[in-house]
Amino acid sequence: MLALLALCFVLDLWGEVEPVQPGQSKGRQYSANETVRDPLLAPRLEKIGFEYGCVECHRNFSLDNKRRQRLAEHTSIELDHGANSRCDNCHLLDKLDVLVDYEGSHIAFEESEKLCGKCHGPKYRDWKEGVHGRPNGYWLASRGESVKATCVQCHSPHSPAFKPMTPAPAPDERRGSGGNGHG
Amino acid sequence: MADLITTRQTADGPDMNRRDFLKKTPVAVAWVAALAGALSPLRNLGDTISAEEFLQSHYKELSPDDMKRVLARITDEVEREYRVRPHLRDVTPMDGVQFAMALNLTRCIGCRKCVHACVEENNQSRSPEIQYIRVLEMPQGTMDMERGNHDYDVEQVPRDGHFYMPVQCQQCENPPCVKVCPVEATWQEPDGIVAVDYNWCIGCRYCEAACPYWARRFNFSKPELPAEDVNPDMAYLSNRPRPKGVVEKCTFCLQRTREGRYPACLEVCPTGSRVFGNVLDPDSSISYILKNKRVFVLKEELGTRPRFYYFFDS
Repeated sequence: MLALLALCFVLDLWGEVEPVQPGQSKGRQYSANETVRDPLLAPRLEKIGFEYGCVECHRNFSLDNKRRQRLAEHTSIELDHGANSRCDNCHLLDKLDVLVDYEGSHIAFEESEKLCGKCHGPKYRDWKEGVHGRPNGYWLASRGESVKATCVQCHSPHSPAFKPMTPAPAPDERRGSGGNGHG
Repeated sequence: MADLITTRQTADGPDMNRRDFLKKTPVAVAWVAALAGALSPLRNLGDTISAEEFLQSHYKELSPDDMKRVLARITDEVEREYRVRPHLRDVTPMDGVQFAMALNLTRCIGCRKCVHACVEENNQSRSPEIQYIRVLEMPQGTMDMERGNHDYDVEQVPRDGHFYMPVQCQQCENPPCVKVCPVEATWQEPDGIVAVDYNWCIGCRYCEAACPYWARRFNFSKPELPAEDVNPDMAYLSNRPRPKGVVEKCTFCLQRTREGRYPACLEVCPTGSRVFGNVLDPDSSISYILKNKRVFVLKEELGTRPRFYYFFDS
């Protein structure tokens, strides 16, 4: 018996354990920090290779502030923003390349969060504190900047509710991390 | 006296006759062969563990020179295995900093991007899968973690009637996992991060059993990490490649956060559900959350005092 065992050991009958080879790369697809939306900071229309600003059409088509339908170039806009059912709730009809503020003054598209803040005060306050919306970069100011996303980088201004999305793959029970919590 | 013994031995000859010799020699040879055979895996020890690594001291006992040598050795090992030269260093805690994280459960939609961003940042094993963050899909109306489901596989999230609760290491101020470690391979750092020295861990998994948040993971086999996916930005106490048979866990991405950056899970979150920062700084965003939102911790009754807060917010 012992001699047999010795023979097995010496001849190394069990063989070497096959080392696990690094598998196929899936890439680092979740390391990108893009926001959900890429907002149009200055809305433009692209047609047959040319780009137009709002005013280029609307100097010819005056806007009726009672109009609720979105005609021609704006049919893709789905408006679902609470009580805001008219264009001039946010857009300044006389000057379409800016947004509306109180008493006929206006807000530039680059500062659109000020427009949002007019109604969403507590959210605007949280955003300014850096706790609404997602920052990127540095939590420590002396090392670098904490870059804030603006409202429209995550919410569509016309339909601001955050949209559902497809989740990333579930943990694979057969390959670990699963079970009833351990492993 | 000495002469007497010598005389007797000479007179009687060796204490063994031919029959005994023939009987005992094969047994002795078999013993030696079996022993040599059984010890033969040690011949390959050089490939798995170097003498230097075997004799390495505990993290807290390494002098700066020792640490330099250890880092150089591990850098070489990683480069040999993954053909990537890592930027490996020992990132130490900052003075006057205690980390905490808060998570807005109203906003989390359960997209699991944090889970995978964490895996990519921290060089976890891709097969078997090691994931630090477990996103629980919870039925609305309960906070019982046992009712959460972490392997939901649906077309779109969030699903009606559910909320989503990502759970990872809570970096407890009173960590049960640290208390049970028989070799002090895991401990709490001055900035609150509970760290593991992978070179000191013996793989007993007591900490895994002690953790009430299911936050620790064990490398049952050699972690499989495709060379192309290696994140070369590495720290000794966090995301350097782990050997087989050790426990690992979330370290608040200390290779990033101790250099002032945000953790990977926070930076990838599409809903901005996570808030991270220094609780000792009264002007930090995490302090703002703790002062202004109704935060709670998981399993508060256990007295673990997590540094990971949850809150609901409109």
